[in-house]
Amino acid sequence: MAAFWASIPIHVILGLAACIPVVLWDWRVALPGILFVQLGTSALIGAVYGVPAPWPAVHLGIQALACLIILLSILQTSNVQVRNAGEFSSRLFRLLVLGIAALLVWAASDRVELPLLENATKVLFLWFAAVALITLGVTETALFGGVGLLLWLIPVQAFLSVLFPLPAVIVLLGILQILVALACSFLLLAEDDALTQIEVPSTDPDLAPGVYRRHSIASGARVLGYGIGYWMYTLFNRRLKSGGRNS
Amino acid sequence: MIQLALPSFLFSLLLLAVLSSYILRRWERGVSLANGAMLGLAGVLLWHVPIDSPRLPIPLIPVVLDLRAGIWEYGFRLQFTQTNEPIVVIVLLLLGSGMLLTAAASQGRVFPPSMLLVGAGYIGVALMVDAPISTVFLAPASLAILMTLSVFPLQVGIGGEALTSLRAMLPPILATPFVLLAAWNMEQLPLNPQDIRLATGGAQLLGAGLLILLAPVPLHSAQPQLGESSPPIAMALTILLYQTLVLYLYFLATTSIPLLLSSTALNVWLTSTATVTLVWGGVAAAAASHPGRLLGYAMLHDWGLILLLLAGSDEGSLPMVISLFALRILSTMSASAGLSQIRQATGSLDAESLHGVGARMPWSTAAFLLGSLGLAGFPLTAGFSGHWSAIQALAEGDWRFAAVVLIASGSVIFGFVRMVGIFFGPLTYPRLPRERPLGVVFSLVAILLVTGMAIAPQLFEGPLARTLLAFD
Repeated sequence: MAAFWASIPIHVILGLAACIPVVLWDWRVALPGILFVQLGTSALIGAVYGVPAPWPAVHLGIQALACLIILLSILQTSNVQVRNAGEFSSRLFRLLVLGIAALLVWAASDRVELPLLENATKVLFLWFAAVALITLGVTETALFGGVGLLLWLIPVQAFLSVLFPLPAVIVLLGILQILVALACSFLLLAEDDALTQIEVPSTDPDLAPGVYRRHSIASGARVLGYGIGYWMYTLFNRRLKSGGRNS
Repeated sequence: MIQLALPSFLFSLLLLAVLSSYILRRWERGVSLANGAMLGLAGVLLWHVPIDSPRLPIPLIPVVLDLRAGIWEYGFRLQFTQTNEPIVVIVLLLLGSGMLLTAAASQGRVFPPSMLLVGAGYIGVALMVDAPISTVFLAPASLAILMTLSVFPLQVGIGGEALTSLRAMLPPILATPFVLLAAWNMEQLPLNPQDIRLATGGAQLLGAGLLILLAPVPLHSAQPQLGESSPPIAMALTILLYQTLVLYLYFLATTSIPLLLSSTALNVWLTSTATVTLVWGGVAAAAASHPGRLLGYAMLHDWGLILLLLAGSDEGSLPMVISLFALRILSTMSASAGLSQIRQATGSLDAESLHGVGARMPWSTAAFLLGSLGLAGFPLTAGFSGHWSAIQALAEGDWRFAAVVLIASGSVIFGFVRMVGIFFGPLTYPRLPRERPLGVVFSLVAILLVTGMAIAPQLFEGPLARTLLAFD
């Protein structure tokens, strides 16, 4: 099992999976892509580097939760622009940038020391970090900012779990990962709110023109805050009301 | 009588403040005033009571406070010590003043509880004296968590550029792996004492992590952008709380790991990036027409000067760094007090709606201008004495640095001269409301503090000496 995960083809597949979100720039690919990269990385550090049993599964669980949090916000956004806006240049250009980054990673990997890691894993983690930095550098939206940060935290958490298999470090980084997802999903809603602002021209020349929102951020935050509980409550409440009307 | 360790008491106090400000958020003004007064009082009392004093009974409640007792949970020990005393007091005073200012100019109803929650986290990091990994190495991860949480007070109640808040949390997230890798190198050192590469590699990684945490150019972008897109008080508190803890972390790291300065190029990198930071702050300020962005660039320029002095790293530069940072806090809070009043009255900080605001809101405008000019070291403002000493110290080493600082400061001042032209130009909206009484009171207090510190900078000598003693 360890030999399978330590093999070069697996590393190549994980490396390709990491850069697909940047190339396609679509949230429907980016979130499963992150989960796939996390799945492979968790299996790699568990099978090859002997990170104790619960932690690789914990990493995967946290990443799944983080992606779910972002997904909830994406489904909440009323404005399609929030989901698809901010695509940096063309796919071909992004591929070119990734190609240059791959060359740089390959050239720099000899000089970078990541203790306790085999050479192939070291290059893979550096590649994840490079792709994350490219995503963060070219994004103009909270959604892909979140994708970049989550991608950055995958190798960081895996590598630090190999170095320090201490619950305190793993829990701190897990908290950070969930908070990053919460913050980005909140910003996604705020961004949507900013996009749907309506400008009210002043009819009185003495008064300043105002900018008002169609709906408040709280309407989105409510869903994040109460989550499934709120949904069930409204569903239950609606049924009760409709039941009352029928009788 | 219940006996409480100081960290438990502080967290109880902050929890009470968070809960009250959230549950009673419809009465934001009254609750913010009460919480601000309570936190400010706690900060002042902590500063005045000697740390080795016997147990203190708290009036009206059956609680006895033990200042030296710590709490130990999950391998983390939180304790009030002489070293972290100034940091805890600064965080409490910043939170207190922020809440008081919120009472005069609302930053959004959920701002007080979310900011207090973030502040409680900063106090926790400052109080941390022991952890599973050395506190110096674990602090960046904690700072990353706190900056991520800061997104909520920064963005709450305001739409706009969401990516700006995201940029603010980048430096600590990027620095965390460098610093933790440095921790691993340092932990291996006792096992391989002959391996010099471990020590120097660890120091270099820690240096790189600290440099990223200090966020000079090109990691600076959050500072001016937050000035433009976030509520002024939220922006000021977020930046100042973060920088207070980062400077504290820098002092802890350089004193506990001497290799950091002797065997790395940290000072060289810090000098070059700090110079670019202060120059860019000045150049960009000259062209800024948005007062929030202008304040952000003035803060960036001031931060560049602090970093330049920090790079000096000799014994003489430490008092100057601390005094400049304290004056930075005073100037920034004064500027944000005025700017938040103006933003509340006009509804926006776009240049077109600010024409003539100075005539209608003189006290708020004065607080903003005096505070902001202090960040450029303008005469008769709080920052003048600090800037003057810094320029003299830099000129003793290399006159070219002093000249660069002077030119960049002049550029910032030019930006504010343009802003004065806008503020005191013809009034665009004659029905602009006048200042509220509470806003006038806070603006007056800010003006008095800023000018008082300019006229009598010796008032600051006592606290400075005590802070220096704490860091020794």
